[in-house]
Order: sequence, then C-alpha cells, then structure tokens
Amino acid sequence: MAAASDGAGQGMVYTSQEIQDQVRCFVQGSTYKSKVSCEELAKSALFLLRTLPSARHAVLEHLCTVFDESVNTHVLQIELGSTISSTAMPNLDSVIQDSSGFLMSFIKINPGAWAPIISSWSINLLGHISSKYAERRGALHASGFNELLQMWMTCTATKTLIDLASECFASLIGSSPDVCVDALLEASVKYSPHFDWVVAHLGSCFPQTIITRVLMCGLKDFCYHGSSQSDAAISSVQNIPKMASVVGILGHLAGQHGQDIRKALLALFRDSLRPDAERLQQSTTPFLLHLASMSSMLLHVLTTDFVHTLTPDILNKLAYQFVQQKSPSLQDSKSLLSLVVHLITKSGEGAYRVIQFLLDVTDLNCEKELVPEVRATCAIILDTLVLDLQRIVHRRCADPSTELPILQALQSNALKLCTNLVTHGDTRQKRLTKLLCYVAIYSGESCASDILAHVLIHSREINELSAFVQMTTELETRYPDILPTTVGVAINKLQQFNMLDGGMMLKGLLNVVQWERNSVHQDSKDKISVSRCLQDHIPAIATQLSHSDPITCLAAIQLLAEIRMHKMSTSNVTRICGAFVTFFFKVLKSKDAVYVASALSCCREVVKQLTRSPTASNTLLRFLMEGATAEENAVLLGGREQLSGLSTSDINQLEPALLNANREHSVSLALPRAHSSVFHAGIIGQGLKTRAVGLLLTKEKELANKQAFLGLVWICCCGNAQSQNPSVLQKDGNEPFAGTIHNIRLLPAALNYLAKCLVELTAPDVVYNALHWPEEEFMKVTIERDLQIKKTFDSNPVLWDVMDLISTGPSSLCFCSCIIRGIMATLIAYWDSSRDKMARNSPKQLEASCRLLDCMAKGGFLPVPLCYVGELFPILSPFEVYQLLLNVWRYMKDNPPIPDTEDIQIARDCDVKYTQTIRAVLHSNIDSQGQHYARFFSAEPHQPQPQ
Amino acid sequence: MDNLRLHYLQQLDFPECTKVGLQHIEEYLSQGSQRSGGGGRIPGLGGSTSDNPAQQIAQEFVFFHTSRRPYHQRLSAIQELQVLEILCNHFHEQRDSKKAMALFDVLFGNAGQLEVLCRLVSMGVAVQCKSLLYCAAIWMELQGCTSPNPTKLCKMLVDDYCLLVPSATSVLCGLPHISRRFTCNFMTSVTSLYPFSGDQCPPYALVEMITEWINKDPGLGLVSLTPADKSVIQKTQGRYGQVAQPWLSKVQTPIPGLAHWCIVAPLTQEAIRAKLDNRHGETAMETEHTNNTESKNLQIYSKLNVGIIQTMVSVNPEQSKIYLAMQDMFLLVKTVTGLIQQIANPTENDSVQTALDRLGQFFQVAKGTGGLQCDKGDLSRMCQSLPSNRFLEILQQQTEAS
Repeated sequence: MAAASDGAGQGMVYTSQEIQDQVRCFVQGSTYKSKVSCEELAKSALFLLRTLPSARHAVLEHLCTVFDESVNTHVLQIELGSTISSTAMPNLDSVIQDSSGFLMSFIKINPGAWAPIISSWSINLLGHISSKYAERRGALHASGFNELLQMWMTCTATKTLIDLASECFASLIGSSPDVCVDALLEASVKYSPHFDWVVAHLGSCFPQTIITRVLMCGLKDFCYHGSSQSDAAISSVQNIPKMASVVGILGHLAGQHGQDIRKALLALFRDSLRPDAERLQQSTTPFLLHLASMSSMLLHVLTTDFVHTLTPDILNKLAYQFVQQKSPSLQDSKSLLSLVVHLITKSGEGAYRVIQFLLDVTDLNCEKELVPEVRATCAIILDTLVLDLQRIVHRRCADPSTELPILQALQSNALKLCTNLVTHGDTRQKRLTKLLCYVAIYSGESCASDILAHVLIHSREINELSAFVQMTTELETRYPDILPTTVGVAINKLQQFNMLDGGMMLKGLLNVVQWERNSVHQDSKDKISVSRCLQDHIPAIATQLSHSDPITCLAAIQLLAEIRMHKMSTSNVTRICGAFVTFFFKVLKSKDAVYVASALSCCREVVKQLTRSPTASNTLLRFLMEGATAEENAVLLGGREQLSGLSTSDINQLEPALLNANREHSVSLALPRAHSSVFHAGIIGQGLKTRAVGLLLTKEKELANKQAFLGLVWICCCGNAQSQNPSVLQKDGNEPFAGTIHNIRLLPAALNYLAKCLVELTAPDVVYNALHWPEEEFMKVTIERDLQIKKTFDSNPVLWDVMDLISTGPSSLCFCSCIIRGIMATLIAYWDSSRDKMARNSPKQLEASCRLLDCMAKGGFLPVPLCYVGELFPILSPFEVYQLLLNVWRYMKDNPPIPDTEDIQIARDCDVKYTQTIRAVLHSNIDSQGQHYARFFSAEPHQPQPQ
Repeated sequence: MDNLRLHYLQQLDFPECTKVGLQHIEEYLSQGSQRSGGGGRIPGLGGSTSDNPAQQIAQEFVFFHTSRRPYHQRLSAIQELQVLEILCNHFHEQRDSKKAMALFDVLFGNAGQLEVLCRLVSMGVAVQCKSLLYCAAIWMELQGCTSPNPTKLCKMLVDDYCLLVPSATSVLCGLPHISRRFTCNFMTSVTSLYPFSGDQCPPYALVEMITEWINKDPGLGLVSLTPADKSVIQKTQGRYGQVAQPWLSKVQTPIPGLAHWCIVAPLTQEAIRAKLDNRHGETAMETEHTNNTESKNLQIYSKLNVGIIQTMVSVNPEQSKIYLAMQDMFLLVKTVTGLIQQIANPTENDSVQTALDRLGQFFQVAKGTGGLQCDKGDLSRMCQSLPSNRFLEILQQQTEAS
C-alpha cells in the first residue's frame, strides 16, 4: 500500500458499493439517461479514474466529449463575438483543468505506463477536434498557419491537450521516441492539413528528436514503398502518404529550427556513408532527393549545405554504394538522374555552388582523385541540365510567366560564373558559355548585356574571345540590340572601375576589335560590330588616356587607333584632344623605348583619325602647341633654360604632383563635391612644396621627342590630304617629316592656324601684333615685349621648328610677322651692342639669327640676295651682322608681308638700296668671302647695277 | 422459439437488450441442462457455437459482434463500461455458482472475448464480485494457470492495479477476501509472468502484496489443491474436452513459482549490483537509493520465503498432493546455475549462499511434507552443478545416511 497514497488518491479505500454507485452515476450521466450535473459527472469520472482501472477507456472517452464541447463553445464564442457568455458552459474549464491535473499526475507517477496511453489519446483527440472544427467559420478566419496556432492555443481545451501530449512526449522521448513519433505521423497523415499545428507545436518543443525521428520514419516508409513498387517508385513517390507529412512537418519546423533540420539531414546523410550502413540507410540518398523534390526548403538545404560535404572521397563512396546496392536497372538510374537534373533546375540560392561543384568535378584538370564514373555521371547531369535549360528558356519566350529558380539564382552570380569562364580556360568553357547564355536570355536584356560586357572586358585569350562571339551570336537571336548595349555597359564599367582593372578591360575590347578587323569581311558590313559600337564611346575611352597606369593608357590609345572616328561634337573633340595631348607628352616622358614606340605609332594613327575634321585638327594643333610650351613639357623638347636654377632638387619628380592628382579625376565620371574632387594646395606640415625638376635628356632623346611632336603637328596640318595619298603616308609612317613636304601639300588653313597659335603663345599682348614693320626707332618702344618673345623661343627651341614648318606654307608665316619682328629686334639690339670680334663668338644669337633669316627666306619674306645673308653671319663681325639685319628690317618695313598674296616670291622684288649693305659687307670681306659673291649678285645679270 | 427471442431482443434498446439477453441465456442454459440431463445431447457434438442460441445472444447482445445491427457496429468505451456493469451486477446477483459458471462459460468459454473478460475481472475485483471471480478462477484452472490467456488476464490486473493506478492497489490487496481460489490462481499465473529472466523483476508492490497474503493466510497457496465442485465443471466438460484433462491429473500451485522467485531474487540482485558497479560515475545519492531498494527487496523476499515454507508446512498430510515434480527442481537448479556463473567467486558470495540455502530449505520441506517425490540420487545430481554450500552438504549427508 506504499503507492496508494501517491498523487491523485487520498489513500482511502473505497467500498465496492461506492465504486458501483459511481459507475452507475457515471454511466447514467455520460449516456444522458438521467440528468447528472456536469461537475458531478466529472467528479465521478475522476473517481473512477483512480479507483477503477478498467473504466479508464470510458473515462477518457467521456473526457473527449468534454473537451470537444469546450472547443465547441470556444469556437462559438469566436464566431458570435462574446455574446455567448461563459454561463452556458460554466464549469467546463474547471473540469478540464481538474482532469488534466489528474492525468498529469498519472504521467508523473508512472510515465512508462501512462504516457503511451495519454499521448495517443490526446493526439487522436487533437486530430479529431482540429479537423472537425476546421470548417467552422471561427476557425476559417484563422487562415494562416500561425493564426491557426494562435487560435488553438488560446482555447483552454486544446491547450490543455497539447500540454498533456508534450508532457507525454517529454517523458517518453528518452526511452521510446518511436512510439510517439509514429503516432504523431499517423495522426498527421489521417487529419492531414488540420493537424499540422499540433505537429509544429510538438516539433518545436522537441525539435531534435522529432526531426530525426520523422526523417527516420520517412526513410523507412520510403524504403518500404520503394522496394515494393520498384520501378514505379519514382513516379509514385508523391503517393507515399508519409512522405508528404514528413515534408509538411519539416516545412513547419523549418522556420524556427532550420538549423536542427539541417543538422539532422546531414547526420542522416553521413550515417548512410558509414561502411557499416544498413540497407535501409543506403537508400538515404535517393530518399533525400525525393524529399527535396517535394519541398523547396529541403531542396535549399540540400543545395546549400550538402554540396560542401561532397568531397571526392564521399563521391566515390556514393558511387560505390549506388553500384553495390541497386545493381540498377537502367531505367531506375535514368529516372534518378533526371530527378537530380530537375532538382538542380529548381534550386535557388545554392544553384551557383551546385553548378560550380559540377564543373569542378567534370573538369579533367582537377587533380582530385575521382572515380571515372562519378566524373561521367556529373558530365551527363550537366549536359542534361544544359539541354533542359535550353528547352525551357526558349519555350519561355512564348510564356514569360514560367519561373526557373536556377536561372534566377544564377542571375545574381552570373558575373562570378563569367569570371569562372575566363579563369578556367577551355575545359568548362562550352558548358559555361551555354549556361550563361540561358541565364542571359532568362533574365532580360540588361542583365544579358551585363554578362556579355563582363565576358567582353575580361577576355584576353582567343578562346575567351570565342566564348564572347558565341554568346553574342546566340543572344542576338533574342535581343538584336544586345551589342550596342553591351558596349555601353562595358564602357560605363570602365569609368566606374578602379584604376587597375581599366587596362585589362580595354585590352579585352581591343582584342575583340582587332579580331573583328581581321575577320570581318566585306559581306558582313551590315553587321553591328563592336568597333562600330565603340564609336559612340570614344570620349569615354579617351579619358582613360589620363590614367596613371601606363598599360591602361597604352591599351586606350591602341583601342582609339583601331576605331574609325566619325563626326563628333565640339565638346567631345575638345575632351578627346585634351586627353590625347596630355597622354602624348606623358609618353614622351617615358623611358621605356618599346612602350614609347608603340604608343607613338598609335598616337599617329589617332591623330590621323582625328584630323578628318578640321575642327579637330585645329583643336589638336592648339593643344599640342600649348602642351609644347607648357613649362613641364619644355624640357622634353629641348628647353634648357629652366634647368639652370633647379639643379638641387629631385630629378625624378618631373611634373607638379598636384596637377597630376587633379588630372586623375578626369578618368572617372565627374564626382559630386567629394573630398577627392577638391583641389588642394599641398600637404600641411611639410612646408613649401619642393620645386619640381626636369630630367636631363640626352640629345638623341630630345631629338626623337621633337621629331615625334613635329610629326604629329605635321599630320595635323596634312588634314584630309593623307586620305588622298595614303600610300605615301604608309611609307613614311615612321619618318613623316623628312623630305615629304614637297610630296604632300600641307593645308594652308592649318598652317595659318598654327601660325596664329604660335603668335598667341609667344606674344605677350596684342597691341603690336600688326603685320607691318615699323621704323627702326620704334624698336626701342617694344623692347620689353621683344625680349619676352625671344625668351620664349629660347626656352622652347621647338618653336623654331614649328616656325620652320609654318614657313613651308605659302603665306602662313605672315601671321608670325610680329614674332619674327620681335626676335629680329632683339637680335639687332644685341649685335648692335656686341663688341666681340667675331659674330661666331655669340653662338646662340648667331644661330637664332640664322634660323630666323632661314625661316623668313622659306616663308618668302625675303627676295634673293637678302634671303642668303644668313649664310654670311658666321664669318662676320657683330657690327656687320647688325648692319645686315637692319637692312633686312628696312626691307621688311617697306615690303610688309601680305598674307593674301598667292605667290610672294613673284611679287617681291629686291630693290637696289637693300643690296648695297650686302655688297658693302661682301666687299669688306672679299678676301675670305669672295667665292660667295656670285651667289648673291652674279646670278641675276639683268639686275640693275647700283648707282 | 429461439428466433422469437432474438427478434424480441432486437426490439429493445441498448442497455435493456443486454440485461434481458443475459436472462434469456440463463433461461436457455437451464433448459439446456434439463435437456442434457436427459442425455439428449452428446457432449462435444451438438454444441457448435454458430447455432447455439445462447452463444448467438451473447455475441449479439453482450459483445455486439454481429453484422445484423449496423448501427451498433462497435460499442463505445462508455457503452462497454455499461455492459461490464450489467455483467457484474448479473454475476453479483447470481448466487448459484453452477448457473454462474454456465453463463461465464457461454460468454468467455472460447476465449474469444479476452479483452472484455480482462476488463470484467478487473472491474469485478474493484466491486468485489465473488461469483465472478470464482468463475474466473475455475476458468483459469481449466485453461491452465500458466497458459497464455490466464497469464494475460493477470498481467492486465497487475498493470491496472499496480502500475497504472497505484492508488487502487489496496483494492487488489483485498483479493483473498473476495475469492481465495482466484487469488491462488492469480499468484500462479503471476509467477510465470515474471520469471526473473534478465532484469524483469516483478513490481515491488506486487511482491509485497503476495507476501502479505501468504503470511496472513498460509493455506492460500494450496487452495487450488482442493478440487472444485464437480458439478460446476460438469457443464463445461463438453467444451474443454481434452483441455480439462491435465487439470484433473496435475494441479498447479503458486508454490514452485514463488519459491523460484525467492531463490533467484538474491542472485538477480547481485547481477544488478555488479552491473551498477561497472558503471562508474554514480552519485552518492543514487548509490544510496539502490542500496535502499536492495535491502528492501532482500527483506521482502526473505519474508516471502518464510511464507512459502509456512504454506508448505501447513499442508494437511491427508489431503497432500504432489505439487512439485523433480523436473521442476532440475529446471530451477539450471536457472540458478546459469545466474551463478555470471557472479565472480560464488562460494564466498553471500547472495549465492542465501539462494542455495533457500534452495536446500525448499527441497527439504517439499520432500518432508510429501509435495515432492524423489529418488535418493536426485539431490546429489542436483548439487553437482552448484557451488558448495554447507546446508546442501548436510542435506546430502542426511539423505545418504537415511
């Protein structure tokens, strides 16, 4: 009697009469034979529960009706608002509480005996109740799963029941979890949709056990059905009732216990790979696949988490298992494979990983030790997948509503795939190309162009290029305008990209363009080509010329050289020219000869392209001139004056850093006022900026630079002429300046413009820029200005060459009249004051004088004897030079240069008064210069003799 | 006439039809007894169940196992309880044990309604229905107390009263007051239910209860030795035919089973303790707990042992019957040997010695009171496989001396 005092009993021994009375009372009450009050009935029920064990079935059945009634009231209350007051069923709740208290105490005292009884009772009752009231209006309001749960949990009866059930579970879970889970599953199958909330609730109370058990139950069921139906198993998987409820339960638990589910699935999978796995466990993999086919959540787990675990070792094991276990009939394995493919097409987030995995496995270059079967199988899967996708994607054109999760997911990873395509060469290219095509087709034109652009700008090798071409061909069938868009996207990227990638991207573009040039034939002229598309983006490419990375710049200039430029707006022309000229001078600074050579040849090509329009050639000329006279570039072209004062500073730092920094901004799109766009004036704390220094160039380098510069200027001045005579140009590509002047006429207009530029750059003001030459005395007025002009020429020796070039034009030099005048005036003043014995003792001045006269002669300013005076200077004394120059001045004063004249040399004639000085000078030096006399005078017998 | 009855019953509503049905069965049986008393019916030939009207009524109106009443396809649990109540009442009011037994035989004779029978007996215990339990006791004897059906019945009772509703154990405690015969058969069945194989020990409450019964009433274990009233069984003779025969020749008593418990219990305890010792890391509290239950168990089993010996001693020499066969003894020894083999160093182990002492006692008393017939060499053959024990050795010497 030790146990008699436990729990519910009061330790009293009831007489048989009492028990009989209570039985009678209970039976009468519960069968409504006589009116027994609710409380009394409950009392006798509970009495019987603890005194008459054999009556427990009846009591529990009675409790069923009590709970049912309570739920009914609850639902009624919901339906009618609270109009039905609780008076109608006053004590139902207390009855429920009492009885649940009893049952709870029973479970606590002897869980082994009571828990199975009560758990199956409560679960069945819950199932019954929830399906019974599911159609009621009150329950219908709770449409969502959570609301349903909410509704049932607020109802006392159901809450009590579920508490009881979970108590039973708690006590059974340690010893025999199969019992409760089986009951749960059966109920779940029986009362399918309405019972879900119970499963979910219980599941969330015991996630670990429930999930594992549910999976095991499913596996058993799957095995059983699978083996009994053999071939038809795959198709009829949906018919296995427990599978559905397994999936349903897991689906409910996924929200809160996703991690647990994940773990359980992984554990299941891992167990199946143990060497001692049973036959049941060996069919885990097909089971999991089928599960996944029924639930996207599980599929997600499978695709995201499982792929990580599939190491070569495991794959080999799986292959072995598959071969061993099934000795598969061909059809069976086929259907399994098609299931896998189907799942992959359905996979969402993890799709990228899956694809990546499959590619890795099929890639023969991977040194993983895989069984050949695995590799072959993966290849089959991948190929089937590609085919399937092709079918679906193209069918989707007709019906755009079709969803294709894999492509959706791959869309976001498309660029990674592209990178894959680029980095992993040949082996996976074919499949990847196809795959990318379908992704592109699926996700619309903008994404397609993104993908294409990515491939385009990353393709370096020829086979990657082929991928691009393939994809373009395929995509153009769907999106005819894809190419321009793609190029646009690529160019946009170019501007967003950070500094380093630009070169690569441009290289990619360059590859394509070069390929097109080499392969595009006459018949395909109508076809849209990349280079044609690029024509719209020339300014953007040109901005890359200012890039700090020389490779990028080179790529940009090469690309520009490949593109045929058409008419552009002035602003674009200005931008392009500006960038180009900056680049050009940067190239000159470079010490890498190969780089310089290739860059310069491209530069010439670009200039040729640019100068098709006169505006462009003028702008270019102007920028070139400005660049040449700019302080930092002067050194490159032979300017030496500045160097004298700067010997102490660092040699390498040629350009002002700040200017460079600000130039960088032009590479990317104009930024809003960010700190990076603010021009700053140096670094605080480092004091004054150190003066920049030029580098000392060799004479050869200087000459080469000069030649390059003048070459460009020359091309500019050629204008359209080159197109009329391309063969000449072709021949002189490297040496455009030497001796070709007479073959090709330079454009007078261009030369005029050049001349005006020169004036503008050298003359400090416009006041005395008239063409005519004033009195000699007037030199004293303009002395400062003249000195300045001379100084400019001294510091930029290349200007002499430019002037030389100008002088080849018929009357272009006229515009330089004021400069010539200024230099002349300076020289006259110098020689006037010079007290040297010989003019040759002042070599600089002498050279200047000679060159000046040479130019004037070439430009047709001077008639025959006058034009030769320069030749005499080296042997003359300064005074004689002075005299001769003055003579020239006088001639010029009387015969000012007239630009309109067609042929100056015919119009100009030398008056005798101008030759007298020459004659006198020759006479005084007749001892040494006798042989020259004839050159000056005897050649013209008709010339009038001096009086 | 039979059809008329059935038809009449079919007109009645549920509880009524059962009540009236029972009356009709009784009526029919009493008529039948008259008829069979006239020798009209040959036992074992005429009584096929399907066309026996009593059986028909029982099936249709007590168990509701018929296709003829679709609306009553299966009784609900409450209705079943109602039926049980009616049956209980009916047996309660039936003072004539012959009639009661006849009715019982019609209802449960072919063991088709074991479930209902179990519940009915369980309820009968609670409501102290003497005649019902008497019938049940006879039924058990007819079936053979250790055969599956009676064992199942007893298991149900143990489950109900000892496991599920511990508060109702007191009801079961009063069992001897209701029916001594049933109690005796119950004990016999129960001992076969828990053979102490492995870890399956009988519930403590049950052992405690049985010990109390036996100690209070030493004759209780021998009730089944007294044959039941022949006339009661006569009617059922025809049905059981061959099954009834062993009952007449060999009577089953709880004594061998209970002795088995007492002898094996210390050994099992030892095995459990050894197992616990192997499992380290037990807290002091747990150890204490196991120690407590152990000492409690030891106590109760030695008490039970005393009870059994008393019972055996109380056998009236005139009526004494052989309740123990030498085969049983050998079987017991075999079990004991098996258990001892699992214990290290058996000769010095207290539990082993206790078990052997009890074995010796049991053998001695059984032999002395005439419950066991054996040859001279039997004891020494018995002791061959057992470790040495002082008491057994003395016994052997005595046997040899005599």
